[in-house]
Formats: sequence, structure tokens, C-alpha cells
Amino acid sequence: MGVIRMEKTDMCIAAAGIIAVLLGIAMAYIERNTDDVNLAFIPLIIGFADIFVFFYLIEKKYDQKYGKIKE
Amino acid sequence: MDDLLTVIDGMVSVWNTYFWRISFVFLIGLGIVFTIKLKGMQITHLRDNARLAVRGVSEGKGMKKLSAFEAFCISMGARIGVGNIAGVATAIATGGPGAVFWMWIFAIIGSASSFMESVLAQIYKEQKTDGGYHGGPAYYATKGLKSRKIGIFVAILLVLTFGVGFVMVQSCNATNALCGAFEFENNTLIFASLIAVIAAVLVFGGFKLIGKFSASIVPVMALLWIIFAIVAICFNIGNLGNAIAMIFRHAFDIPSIIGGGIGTIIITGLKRGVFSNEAGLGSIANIAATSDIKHPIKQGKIQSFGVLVDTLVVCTVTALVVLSYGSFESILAFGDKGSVLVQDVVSSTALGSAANYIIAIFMFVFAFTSMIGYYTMSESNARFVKDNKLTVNLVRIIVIRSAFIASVIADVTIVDDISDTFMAAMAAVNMVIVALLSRSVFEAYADYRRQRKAGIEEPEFTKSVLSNSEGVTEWE
Repeated sequence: MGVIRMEKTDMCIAAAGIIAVLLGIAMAYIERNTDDVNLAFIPLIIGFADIFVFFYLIEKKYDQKYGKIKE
Repeated sequence: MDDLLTVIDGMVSVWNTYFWRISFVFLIGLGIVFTIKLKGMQITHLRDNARLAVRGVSEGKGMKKLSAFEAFCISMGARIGVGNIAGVATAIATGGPGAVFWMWIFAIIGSASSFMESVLAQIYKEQKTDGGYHGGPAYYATKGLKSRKIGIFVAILLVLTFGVGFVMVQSCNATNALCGAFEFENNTLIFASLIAVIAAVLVFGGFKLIGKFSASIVPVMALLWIIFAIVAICFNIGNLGNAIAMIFRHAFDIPSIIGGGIGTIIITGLKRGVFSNEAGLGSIANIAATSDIKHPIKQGKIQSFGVLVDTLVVCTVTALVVLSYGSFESILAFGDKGSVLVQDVVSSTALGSAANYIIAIFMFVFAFTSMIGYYTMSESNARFVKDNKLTVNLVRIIVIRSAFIASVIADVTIVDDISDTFMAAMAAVNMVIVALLSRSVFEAYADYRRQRKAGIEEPEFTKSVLSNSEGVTEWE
């Protein structure tokens, strides 16, 4: 990932959040409307991956603004 | 009446499924992220976290403000409630014995989330005119995200979750336990009225005094529950090995008698686990903010330890009481769930019908002490929205009516579904806010570790450590 502009990062964070919500809805839909409940694990796993991206973008945003946290 | 309840349950059940799946992604996804970022601190630093909780005993003596240990006791008081008895039994009845395994897993993940929210609550706490500290999700959302609108939204959601949802579950299970012990005509209506009257007296009268009393009585009651549960397990000691084996055997394999997939076990474990330990819901953050400590990280560590004690100790002994009865089929044969199932199991031992009365007393005390905690939290958040008498009275009426309605309904499934829907919404919103403000927590944690590495026994925190201390009014 290269340098992302601040406003773009905010938009990406929001997009990742919305995708996580949609994947949760997809998971519930599959559970309620299909016979194979285990299919619901597909949106769940994608959702977890999306949450990692969501958090990575939040970290990236603050690292760009304030620098990395000194250990 | 029954038809109406079926229609309501059908509607709530749909919302419940959708809200929980959304919440699941955020609650567990972010819980895993926080666990990785904190390098599994909740387990690797377990001894240090426990030491901090216990050492606070002496630290609190003679202080006017709340010590870390006192805040820990109060938060345990709020955590330990009906969820630790009825919730666990419901989890086993609806998700199978494997649900207990997932309760453990989510307690470990959730303790990282509890750490995060408690530290944030400390960083953004506010000293009010009464001299005490106030904080929680509404405060950190308003100050950290610089949006009062989000703060108000979170405060209202908190009132709905705890003032309506959680109060309903507590009163419903307390009524069921009382009805299980004292059987006579119209007992549900009489106990529902009794609960509503006592709730009204507490809410309109001296709940502050009783609140203080409950904070000290609950840890004692929790200890007594553990002892009682161990005694009950001893009566079925021969089945203990099988009980433990069932938890692991059914962790990935739901018993065919229940049906459904592995998702059912996992979601049931998560729901009942979160209802019990309240990790990520923002409720404990309200209490964590009240303590007067030198570094926010200390309160985070203590609260993350509290989540583990609640689930890995208190919930586990209840689970073993139920599961040591015998095979899963024989447990389901009772046809009950919640507190009544625990009464069924324990009264089948040499304790006999005396067990029904003892469990009813535990449930009654836990339900009321938790309800006091939920009411206090609801009032505090209602005051955050609008600090006037009308708002406070409105919340009081909502709490009393919720307690009465749930007691009359007396159907654990419907009440659980209503409470779970609010809980899911609260968890998702709170976790997103915590993630957005997580930078402050990681900076505070880095500062704490730096000081500890430098040999400082009691690290102290100032807001200058934070790269963005806007909105932080304490910690000069």
C-alpha cells in the first residue's frame, strides 16, 4: 500500500465498515433462507478479513497523521 | 395471548438473526484484532492482571473516590447475574454442551475488547460536580469522535439495551425461578407484580443505598453460588468427566436432537457469553470510568481479568452443574431452559426440592442487584442526553414496565430475543467506536509498558503521552 490521501482513507474505512455490515446481512440471509447453514461461514470469513482491512486503514490513517507509536 | 406472543417472537427473531450476524462480524473480528495487537495480553499477563485487581484492596482504603478494586467489585456485581445461571442453562439447552466451549473462546477474545473499552472510558472520563468520575461509550464517542450526536445515539442505545432488554431478562428469569419454587394459582402474575413493586421502590427510592449494598453483597453471593454449585456437582461427581468431555465433543458437532449447524453452537455460545460477561457492550466501561487510578491501563487490565473470572469460573461451574446430570438427551428431557432447568437438575439430587428455593433466592438477589446496576447505568446515560426530572422519570417508568411485562410474559425465548437484538446493536456500535479511537489505547499501553520496563512499579499517566489529546479533560 502506498501513501493514501487522508480523505481517501476515511472513505475506505467507511466502505470497509459498510461491507462488514453487508456481509453480516448476507450471513443472516443464508442462514434463514438456505438449507446449507454452513454456507454462512463464507461471508463470515470474508467479514473477518474485511475487519482486518478496516482496522488496518484506521491504523494507517493515524500513522500518517501522527507517526508510528513508539514502543 | 399465546398467538400474539408467537407473532411478536417471529418478528423479533428475524431482527435478532440479522443484528447478531452483523454484530458477530464486528465483535469477534475486532476482538481478534485487539487480541493480536495486544499480543494476547489477557492471557500472557494473567498473573499481573489478577495482581492488579487484588492489590487494589489496600489501595482503596481511606479514599473518597472509587478505588480500582472497588470499581472491579462493582463491575463484577453488574456482570454476575442471571446470565451466569439461567443464561448458561439456556445456552446448553439451545446450542448443546459445545456452546460452553465457545463461551470460553469468546471470553478470551472479549477480554481484549473489555480492556480496550475500559481504557478508553478512563482516558475520556469526566469529573462532575458530585466529585466522582463519569464516563463510558457516550462520553468517549462525544469527546473522542467530537460528535455529541453520536454520543446521544449511543446513550439512548445503552438505555434500551440495559434499561429494557437486560432488565427484561433478569425479571423474567427471576419470576420463572420463583414460580418453579412456589407453585400456586396465578403465581406468575403475583410474582410479576411483586417484582414490579420492588423495582419501583428501588428506582424511585433508595436505590443508591441499596446499590452500595449490592456492590458488596454480589461478590459474596457469587462465592456462595460457586460453593453451592460445587456441592451440587459433588452429588453427580461420577458424571463430571463425561460433562467435561461433552463440552469438547460437541464444540464442533451439534447433537442431532437439537438440529442446526455448527453456526448454532457458535452463535449461542457468543450470545450467552456476551450477555454474561458484557465484554464489548460498553456497560463495564461505564463502571471502569468511575475509578480513581494513576494509569488507565490498570483499569483495562483489571476489567479484562473480570471477563475471564465471570465466564471461565462462574459460568463454567453452572455448566458443570447442568451437564453432570447425565447424558444430553436426559437433560433435554426436562423440557426446560434457563433457571428452571438448573432447578430441575439440582432438585434431582439429594438436595431435593430445597434446591428450588435456594436457586430461587440466588436468582432473586442476582436479578435485583443486576437490575439496580442496569438502572443506574440507564439513568446516568439518560442524564447525559438531557439532565432533567422528566427524562429520569421516563427511564424509571420504562424500567419498571419492562420488568413487569417480561415477568408476565414468562417466556425466556421471547425475552432473550428482545434483549439479544438490543445487545447486538449496542455491541456493533460500541466496537466500531472503540476501533476508531483505538490509537489512544495503544499509545497509553506503550507508555505503561515503557514505564514498567524502566522499573517504575506504579506507572503514572498524563495526557501528553497521547498524540491527540483533544477532548481529554482529566490526566493533566
